[in-house]
Amino acid sequence: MEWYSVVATILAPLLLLMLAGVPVAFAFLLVNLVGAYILMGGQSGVEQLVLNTVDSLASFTLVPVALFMIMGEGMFQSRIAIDLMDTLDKWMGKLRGRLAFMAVGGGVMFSTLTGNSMGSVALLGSTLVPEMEKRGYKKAMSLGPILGSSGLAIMIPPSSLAVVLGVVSELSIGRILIAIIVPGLLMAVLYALYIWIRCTLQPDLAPSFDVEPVPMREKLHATVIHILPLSVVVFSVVGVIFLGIATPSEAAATGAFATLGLAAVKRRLSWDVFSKSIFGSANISVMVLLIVSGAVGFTQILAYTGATYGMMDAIVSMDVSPSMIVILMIISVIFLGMFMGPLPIMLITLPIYVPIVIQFGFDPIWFAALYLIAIETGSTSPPLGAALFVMKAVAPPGTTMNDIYKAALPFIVCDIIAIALIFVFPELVTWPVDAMFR
Amino acid sequence: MRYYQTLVRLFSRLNLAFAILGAAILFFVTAIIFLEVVGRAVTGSSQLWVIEVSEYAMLYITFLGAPYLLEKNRHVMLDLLYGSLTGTWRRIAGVTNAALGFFLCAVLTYVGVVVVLDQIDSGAREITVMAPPSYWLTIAFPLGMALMTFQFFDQGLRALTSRYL
Repeated sequence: MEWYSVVATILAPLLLLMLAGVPVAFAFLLVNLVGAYILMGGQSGVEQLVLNTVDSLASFTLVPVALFMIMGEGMFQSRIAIDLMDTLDKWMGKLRGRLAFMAVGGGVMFSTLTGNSMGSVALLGSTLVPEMEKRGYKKAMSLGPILGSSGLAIMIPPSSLAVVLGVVSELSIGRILIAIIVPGLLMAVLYALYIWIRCTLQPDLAPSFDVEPVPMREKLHATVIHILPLSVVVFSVVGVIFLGIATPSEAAATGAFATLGLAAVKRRLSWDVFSKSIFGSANISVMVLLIVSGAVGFTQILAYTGATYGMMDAIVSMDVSPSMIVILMIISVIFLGMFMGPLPIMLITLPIYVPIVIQFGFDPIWFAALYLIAIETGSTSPPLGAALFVMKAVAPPGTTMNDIYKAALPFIVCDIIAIALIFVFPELVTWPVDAMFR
Repeated sequence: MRYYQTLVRLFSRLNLAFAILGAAILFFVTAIIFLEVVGRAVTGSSQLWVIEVSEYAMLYITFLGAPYLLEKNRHVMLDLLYGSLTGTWRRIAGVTNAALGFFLCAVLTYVGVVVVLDQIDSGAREITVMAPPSYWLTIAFPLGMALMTFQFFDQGLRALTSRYL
């Protein structure tokens, strides 16, 4: 059987099952079960599948997926994230597009504390949008900045999806976590630049309003109380990796403990907050881990049939430049993101894309950074990007999906500019990694 | 039907208890890794068992928590097509999905038990520092699958009778 027939035979039922509403993890497991039975020798093939699934989960590289969740849940449950927004608010002063800039600032700060963008959309959306509406902000300048900057959680460490990417592609998680910092900040700068330009050209989008002046003493006090301690949390993740004190997997534990410790110091770590944080993180982790285990089995079956090799061979021998193929891969990820969630896309495409990128001689870490921006772009892209629906859930009544689509569009363009810049200047990604791992 | 409802409640409590146990294991793992980092920074020596126990914990967390999430319909799914279905079509899709899930989990429970029994018979051990019997790990798989088999059965029944749709 040709590789494309094998891929079609395996991929078509998988996509059909997912579309029909079978949970993603079980769709993978079903295809794996049938594939293992037919291709790997009946029941012994299925026994091998069971052993492979168990092996794929008993992996230390998966630890940060669960532990980064504790950081995010802890921040939200203990309301440390709200304090952060309040402090940011005090510093902003009277500025056109103030609340939109706050969304970007909040997005960047949250992303240094959590690895999950959906939580950021929910929190920024529920805290900022009502105020934006009250101040006469048009939807383009209220919903858009929140959608864009919430996705930065994927791009700035700790990032659960970066860990999943590392696990599935067998790339260094530490390198990926460092590699995505500059692209994440670049995206934030592009968002801020866009807000500034748009608010200057069309002041009515974000009317300026008087703000009660906040004395410098109060600003500094809020910063010392609410922002400064967060540096301990950031250091406990990124700092300990940089200094070689802990591996990325271990850094997730120090980050989680620092978050819980901070909540305790602030006297916010009640039993309720603690148990909700741990139980909530365990639940999200289970969802992710089960899908990862299914996808690892799927990858093994693809490889076993020779489909992965055949596909690689076909793509590598195409009469198109390698750069163009990378561009097409990135476009396909954005396209898939319009219809599917980040995890299924990553788990279906990465096992195929990363070997090709390596075969072409590109730096896979550079590709990983481009890929994650594409994932972020896809999740905010109409019609079905996952973040759009979270936004709809927290947006004020009367907000239509059309409003959300229109608001998201300019920020998608910013993401594409970021992809183009990183594509043309790979040093933005490779330099920090080389500097650190020299 | 009354006995069935009692059974549903029993499974529901079991699912919750296992999910709580999974969450407790997650915190335990966080704590031992944190202490390992601090301990290594202070004393310069590592505890080899920490990594191994954490690896096994990921497996247990997943299979202890998955049945609870299935009961609460919280597993990630694409509702692109399913979400737009109504009436009979939705019921058909619901029953079909539950039947597929039931079949999948029942087969994997059976094969999982076969693998565990094989491992007990052969005395297989992990090739690691702690070298635990392999079935200590593998057993999490059929356990989770068995609980999910019941959940899919219940989902199918509910979709058929439409009581909860």
